[in-house]
Amino acid sequence: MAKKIRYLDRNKEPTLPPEERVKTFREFELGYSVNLALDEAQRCLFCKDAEQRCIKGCPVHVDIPGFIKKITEGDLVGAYKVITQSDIFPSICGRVCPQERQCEGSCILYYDTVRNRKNKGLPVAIGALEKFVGDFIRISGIEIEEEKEPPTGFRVAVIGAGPAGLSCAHELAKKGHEVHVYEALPKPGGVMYYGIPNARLDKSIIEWEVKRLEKLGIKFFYGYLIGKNITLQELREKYDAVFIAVGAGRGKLGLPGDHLKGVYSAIDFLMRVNLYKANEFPKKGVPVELGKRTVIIGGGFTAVDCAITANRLGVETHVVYRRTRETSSARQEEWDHLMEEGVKIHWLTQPVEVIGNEKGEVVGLKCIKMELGEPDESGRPRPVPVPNSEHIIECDSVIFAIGQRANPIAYEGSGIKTTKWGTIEVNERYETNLEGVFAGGDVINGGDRVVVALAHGKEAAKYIHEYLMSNKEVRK
Amino acid sequence: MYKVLRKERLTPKAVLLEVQDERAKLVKPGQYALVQANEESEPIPLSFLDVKESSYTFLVEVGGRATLEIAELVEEKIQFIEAPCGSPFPVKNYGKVLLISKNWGVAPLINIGRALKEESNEIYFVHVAEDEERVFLTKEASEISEEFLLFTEDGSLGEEGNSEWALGYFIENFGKPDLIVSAGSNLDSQMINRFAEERNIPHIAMVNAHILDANGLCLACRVLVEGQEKLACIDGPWFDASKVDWDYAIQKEAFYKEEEEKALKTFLRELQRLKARGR
Ligand SMILES: Cc1cc2nc3c(=O)[nH]c(=O)nc-3n(C[C@H](O)[C@H](O)[C@H](O)COP(=O)(O)OP(=O)(O)OC[C@H]3O[C@@H](n4cnc5c(N)ncnc54)[C@H](O)[C@@H]3O)c2cc1C
Ligand SMILES: Cc1cc2nc3c(=O)[nH]c(=O)nc-3n(C[C@H](O)[C@H](O)[C@H](O)COP(=O)(O)OP(=O)(O)OC[C@H]3O[C@@H](n4cnc5c(N)ncnc54)[C@H](O)[C@@H]3O)c2cc1C
Ligand code: SF4
Ligand code: SF4
Ligand code: FES
Ligand SMILES: [Mg+2]
Repeated sequence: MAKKIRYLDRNKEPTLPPEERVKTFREFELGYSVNLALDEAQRCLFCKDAEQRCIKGCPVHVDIPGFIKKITEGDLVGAYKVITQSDIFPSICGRVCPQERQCEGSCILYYDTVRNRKNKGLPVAIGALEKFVGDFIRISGIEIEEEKEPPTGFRVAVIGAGPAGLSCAHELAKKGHEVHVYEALPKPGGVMYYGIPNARLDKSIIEWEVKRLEKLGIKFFYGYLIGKNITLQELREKYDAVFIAVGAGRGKLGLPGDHLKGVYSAIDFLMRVNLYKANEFPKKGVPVELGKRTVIIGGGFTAVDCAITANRLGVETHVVYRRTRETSSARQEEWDHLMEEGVKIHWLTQPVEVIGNEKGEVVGLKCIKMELGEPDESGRPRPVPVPNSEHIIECDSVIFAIGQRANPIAYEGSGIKTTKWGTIEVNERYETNLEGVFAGGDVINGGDRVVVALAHGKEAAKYIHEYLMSNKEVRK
Repeated sequence: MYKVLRKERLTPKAVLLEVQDERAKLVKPGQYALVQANEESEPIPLSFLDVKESSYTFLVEVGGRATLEIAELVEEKIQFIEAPCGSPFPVKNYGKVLLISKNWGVAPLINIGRALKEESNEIYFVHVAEDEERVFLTKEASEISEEFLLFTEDGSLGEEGNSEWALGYFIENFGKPDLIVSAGSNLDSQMINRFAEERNIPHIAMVNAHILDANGLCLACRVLVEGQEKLACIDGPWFDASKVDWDYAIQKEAFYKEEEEKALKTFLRELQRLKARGR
């Protein structure tokens, strides 16, 4: 008998009610219970052509029906093994991937990617299931043995412990190479640690994953800023290959008045809270001061994370974005969450100037209203200013969440080829113009997603391995 | 975690801290470290004073919470150190060099003074301290200099005088230097800069800015140099003083004044509790 297709009865992940979650930095999406997970897994049709659907939508091509099948069979270890063939951090990707534009957006229940038409249902909750599997393994304490090839004698330096660096290190260690990761900050994870708030990704998950990598023999060196204490050239001399994964994490400002007291780059603000627990000031030493009302400028992941964080500090939180919600690169769900929590979002609003008082403190943000005009090069309608729509949003602080820039300290002056945006140029094998030096993650694409950085790290590791095995004598 | 090899109290306001670290080999003159006493602490920049094969020494002048935490709580271990940070001082032969330090500024100036001396510069050292509790390392400073002059602003030790006065006194008695280097206070460096500009003397200064990550990510430490945004943590801390927008730097220094007072008060209470419990 044909299976009844469960188009609409998607299981919602239990979530803290808005009035509860604004009081805490705890995660607010609480994860599936075993029952919910089993039931949700039943919704999958295990499409024969999943390669053309959900799997294609996932940047690392997780075998989605494969792992969901294992869940239905009650084999969670098996499910974990299927996922980690492609994605080493299921608990993390399950939480932070914009699934609606990736795997879930291509699920047949929602969108028929083969016939290119919208279907009538809600996609399988692939992200929540992936998170469930990852969390189960982590919490159960089941040790998953990772196969590791015998030592090759080659040594590789990885610069940056963000997702790209971690996944590359992992892959290389499994191939038997000795891997040293150099990280400037006191903690691993890159943006996942200092950018994404606990409310969306608890830091203990990153720490658990890094322990796993340490067990594989990878060594981490914190407090090393490559370029200022060791140069790239020196690393090239000491190691057989180098992988640059320093991200593109330099904050950005850029309006008249951005020198005023109360103006933060998103990175400044988020780092204070995520890395140095400014939410527990003055018990802890690092302060953050937003006043009574803050305005966040931007419409992507970064803006969402700033809003989540500011709101939980008890500050009246506004977001201004020059485009519309539909064109935002953040997860749609997150906007819903923010609105439920009382964050005020001003779509089609372009900030023009930060206004200060005679003491040099922020007192407001001058904005103009926008409306949608003709489509631009990208095909999106271009926002154009509405005449005479200038207005001031009164506030005590302004956070610029308008994207990040390359932070070239690691490779400046090394002779490496860069693009006009300051990112590193690589070929399809992730090779830079310097022999034995590879790069991946945000440092080559200027800012993308966690899962893409993971993919780069993994693929680059494959080419680094090839490079080492084919060209080089083991150094003594 | 880093091992503390030696902690020595110099005055009620200052300690010397020697820390074991293999990265000592990497340190170049004029660089600094970002130091976090324990998990709860704010990370702060401290300049390298002495640097050996596998250890280095900081001078820590107690001002507020973070420095007090180091002076009072750090005994055997330091939580986190990023090192070395910042761009090195441009060491070369300038000729006759005058180093003017304010309070803790004596530490980075001794560090670069030694390197400058190796390049056959003729070193003169003027230390201006707020009071006698901020007079430290006079022996180390005089060892590298042709002449070492000490001033305190309240006259409690040495001559009475501030930086501007001290500079005037120096030039009157020892003539014009080929280069002035100042460190320890933006206000003093601004004052010195006015004086130096009027007399066409090149002047390099350490700019104090709030440093959070020391990696060029957050922009908290931005300063204006010839109208351009520069990052004190990586482009600095040494800048051509005549190009720095000192008013902006001084205004920014006060951004966290209220929070800094609150942080200190909270910690002082905590410290009293610890002491009452005999820690
Ligand atoms: C606030 C924010 C929220 C985001 N939210 C999401 C999300 O929800 N989902 C999603 O998919 N993507 C999100 N992104 C994007 C995603 O985080 C990035 O694409 C991803 O982290 C890039 O990984 P990476 O490894 O290339 O670099 P990063 O994560 O930037 O890591 C680089 C690491 O290198 C270190 N480093 C830099 N320079 C040096 C040096 N010279 N020496 C030593 N170490 C150095 C840095 O300290 C850092 O730890 C977000 C981005 C931001 C800024
Ligand atoms: C490049 C550089 C090198 C330095 N070297 C030394 C040194 O060798 N010895 C020494 O005793 N001091 C040094 N300082 C100064 C030292 O970093 C500050 O005194 C210290 O951060 C004050 O912290 P606090 O919590 O004790 O005091 P607070 O009361 O919090 O601050 C006092 C003042 O110190 C400055 N300050 C506060 N936080 C920071 C921060 N995170 N980064 C920079 N400045 C801050 C501000 O101007 C503030 O008004 C250096 C500063 C810089 C920028
Ligand atoms: S890695 Fe991300 S995109 Fe791929 S299946 Fe998992 S949640 Fe979906
Ligand atoms: S497209 Fe949807 S239903 Fe089909 S295999 Fe993928 S997740 Fe399952
Ligand atoms: S301290 Fe963050 S950019 Fe300089
Ligand atoms: Mg402080």
